[in-house]
Amino acid sequence: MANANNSCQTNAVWIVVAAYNEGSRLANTLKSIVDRASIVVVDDGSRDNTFAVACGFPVWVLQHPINCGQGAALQTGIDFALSRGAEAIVTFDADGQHDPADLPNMLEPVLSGQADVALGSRFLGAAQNMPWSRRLLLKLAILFTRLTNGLTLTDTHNGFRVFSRKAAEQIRIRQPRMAHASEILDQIAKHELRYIEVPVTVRYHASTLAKGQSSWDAFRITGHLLAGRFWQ
Amino acid sequence: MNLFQWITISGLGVLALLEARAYLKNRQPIHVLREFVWLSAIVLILFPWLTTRVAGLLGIGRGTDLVFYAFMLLSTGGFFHFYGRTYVMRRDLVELARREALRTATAGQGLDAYVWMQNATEQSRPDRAERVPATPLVAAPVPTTRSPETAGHTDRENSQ
Repeated sequence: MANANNSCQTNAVWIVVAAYNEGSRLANTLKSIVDRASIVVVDDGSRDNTFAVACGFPVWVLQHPINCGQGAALQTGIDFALSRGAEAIVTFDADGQHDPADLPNMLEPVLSGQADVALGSRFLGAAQNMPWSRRLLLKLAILFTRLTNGLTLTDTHNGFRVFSRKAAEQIRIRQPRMAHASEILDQIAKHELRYIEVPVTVRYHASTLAKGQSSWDAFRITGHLLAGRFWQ
Repeated sequence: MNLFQWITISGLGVLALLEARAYLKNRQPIHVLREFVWLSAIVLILFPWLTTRVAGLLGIGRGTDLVFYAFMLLSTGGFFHFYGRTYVMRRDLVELARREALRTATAGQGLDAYVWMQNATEQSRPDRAERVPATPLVAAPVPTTRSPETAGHTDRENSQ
């Protein structure tokens, strides 16, 4: 664990935070991780003060001129981190759902070379205040993933991930919107990357639930995935 | 011929001629396909009983049903065609936005000192000194609110 803790302090580890209209929550999230690694915040064409809030921290800030979706924002941040020599890239939600205390545990397998990708799992860890409908939806997503790409995971749509440099270079997120989570898993299977699930804590708040995906979005995401496969 | 036939056949005839001219100009197969569509329409309007005959051959029964089914199939095909084009266009637009964001990266407040400290740590490690560039950074003036004007101004000032 000491290895992961030390690497957090250097340019080896980059945290990518994709933010869209997160002006009210971004500051707390950045405060909790700012001293742990190099950070790039991708403002995905927000209408609020997300950009200004991010600029108030010692982080890199990239701004999409239009709202492109979380997948595109993550790919932008990953490209930037790679260009700056990142050895490990963390994707971290801007809304404060993830616990920064999980960061060393997430980094350890990737920095030690045990895995190419570390995937956070709230079902191995803890999911606080998760509504039953969300739980059901995520379980269905697990089944969908198992059927489509054969990966056996306990949590398929957790935004807390760590990619090694090799994995980040191989994975290209082409799904701009929320279907990127499934696409990343497809590419992990396609490139035969070594992956590991790490228990993490995800905290649900009323505000994040209000902004987050609705159950009906599952159908839209499936449509985007199918369209993405058809129109390569 | 009735008035409807005169009007539609005249219009379709012009389209068929333009299509033929376009094909002779660039020899693209799409023009042959379109020419076939226009000529088929002309023939079917001139000889309406042909649709009934073709419908009978296909086991549909009525000519109007055949036209309706053909319309439905073409509409569905057209929907997927245009959805695909919109999808690809959207993806290109996203790529453009991403490149613009990467080109205009902005250093947040205090990042220059922060990165200098990190780079100093990195340079002291011989295994990483070549890989991680010690980039000199200039922190951006931080806008107090986000408006298209201020955001654009800040971005351009910091583009490298």
